[in-house]
Amino acid sequence: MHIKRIDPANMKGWAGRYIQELDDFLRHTNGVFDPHIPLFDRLVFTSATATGDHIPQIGYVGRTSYIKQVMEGQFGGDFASSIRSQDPQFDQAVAGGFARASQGDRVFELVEMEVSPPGALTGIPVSYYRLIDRLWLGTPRPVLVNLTLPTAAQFHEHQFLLDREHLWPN
Amino acid sequence: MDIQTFLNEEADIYADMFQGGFVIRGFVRTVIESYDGKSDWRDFTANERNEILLNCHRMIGLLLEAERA
Repeated sequence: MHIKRIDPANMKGWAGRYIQELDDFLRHTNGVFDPHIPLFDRLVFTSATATGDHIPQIGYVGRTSYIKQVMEGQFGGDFASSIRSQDPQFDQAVAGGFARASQGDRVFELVEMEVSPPGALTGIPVSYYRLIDRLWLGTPRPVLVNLTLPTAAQFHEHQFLLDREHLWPN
Repeated sequence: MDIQTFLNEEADIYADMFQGGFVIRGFVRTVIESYDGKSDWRDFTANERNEILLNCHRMIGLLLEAERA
């Protein structure tokens, strides 16, 4: 598992462009939620009560957000505790960024790791960019907004796995 | 109930709950409108309705916490 702080200008591909787009937007707002926020469907809002030990409580989960796609259909009222119980390694690995963002740091990271979904015999390499920042929705304390997107490397790995599945029957 | 009545009533409820009810109203509106521009509750599928309600339910949990802190 490897987490690297990265300048959004150095994020590549469509994922990098999307992160830069959200970064530009957030730079030009005063931190209050704006209905015109870009990529709303891909965003996730979490609690800003983030200790760095666990993923904070999760509120809004965009319909096409990365986490929704990865963990499709398994969550009800408490998204975060479901992730914690399902994959503690993933939970701990990604928790630190939320804690830094809750202190007012706009977080840009490249995360590279292996995850083991239930039933999988081998780990699956995962590589994604993420942006985390504070956002105010009318309460004295903020929530955190999180945009996570697979990198081009992750996309190619995914394609490779799909291609290989087609080859196996032959 | 049409969408405007719904949003007006929601705004009143949220205004009582949080200092910034109008911000929450904007959030709920954005969630609803993110479904291919649908605006009438009857146009949504059962899954979409569940998804919207769960999202709002989870967000209210976060905001109550952020309000108390």
